[in-house]
Amino acid sequence: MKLYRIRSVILRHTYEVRRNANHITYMVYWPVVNILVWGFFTLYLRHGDRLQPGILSCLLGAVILWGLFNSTEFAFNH
Amino acid sequence: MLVNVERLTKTYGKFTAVHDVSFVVHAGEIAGLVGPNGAGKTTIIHMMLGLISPNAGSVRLFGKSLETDREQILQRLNFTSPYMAFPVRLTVQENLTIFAGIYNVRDRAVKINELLERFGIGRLKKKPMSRLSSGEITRVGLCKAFLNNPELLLLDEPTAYLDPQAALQVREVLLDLQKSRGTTILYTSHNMHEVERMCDRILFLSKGSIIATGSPIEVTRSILNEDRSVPALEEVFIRIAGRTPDEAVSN
Repeated sequence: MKLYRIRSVILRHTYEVRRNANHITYMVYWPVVNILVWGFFTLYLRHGDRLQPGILSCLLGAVILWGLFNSTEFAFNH
Repeated sequence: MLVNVERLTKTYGKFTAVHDVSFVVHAGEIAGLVGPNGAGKTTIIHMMLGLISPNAGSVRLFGKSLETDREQILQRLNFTSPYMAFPVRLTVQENLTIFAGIYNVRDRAVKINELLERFGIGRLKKKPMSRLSSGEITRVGLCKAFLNNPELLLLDEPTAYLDPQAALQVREVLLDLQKSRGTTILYTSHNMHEVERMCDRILFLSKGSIIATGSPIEVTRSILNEDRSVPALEEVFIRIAGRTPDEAVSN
């Protein structure tokens, strides 16, 4: 990992933000929302026996997997 | 030799994109990788850049293996293709500044200005990429490719989308830069007259295999099986494009 490359990536996003303020939404707002949602979700799962096999845990697993693929796809394309 | 590709093979499921391809490119040479659509040219270039992995075979550049010395190798080469996507909201100058930063180029502004003027797009410096024509984007890609003074240039259809006048200008700049810096160039194009003018040696691909190598006149004589005095690669191309894979390899 080279510092000059990291600087260039930061520069690229600085230029993007200067051209389009909405870029901040992708860089800051959505990551914060995701952290909050998944943080509360983790707290919810820690209570009781909510992770036992069943329809609910299956659906939740699918949602997590969808979130993972969605984030990966977004990261690759932007 | 600068480039040494040995027995390179790439398959996607049952489809073989590149089959057992071997070739060398010597320092200072302009080698043309030509063939019909789907012949495997871009796949070979992507394997040379380490963007995709071959199923078999090896790529050695500057005497080093791409598998073990990838970073050192990539610092000494560059690439451009008309399919490259630049961030469209940023200006030409901003895009080139970012790439210059990634390559750790010194005196970035001077270097960028010099290249923009050389490729005849100095006036577009402050324009966002989204406002450029395809030909102008192609020329920005060429400026990007020369930013780090590469010893090896992989040019995938460098004159695609250019009008004849702009294509001529770009060819002259490429030849001039190649002569003054001794850059080795691996060149792909569908414009056979351009290949005849630019390339010292040609690697003719069909259906993933090399079917002929040599100077333009040697390839013409070999494929057409006639004693020609001038190269006729367009005729060669049309003849090869009409062949079945078995015919192509057996000839």
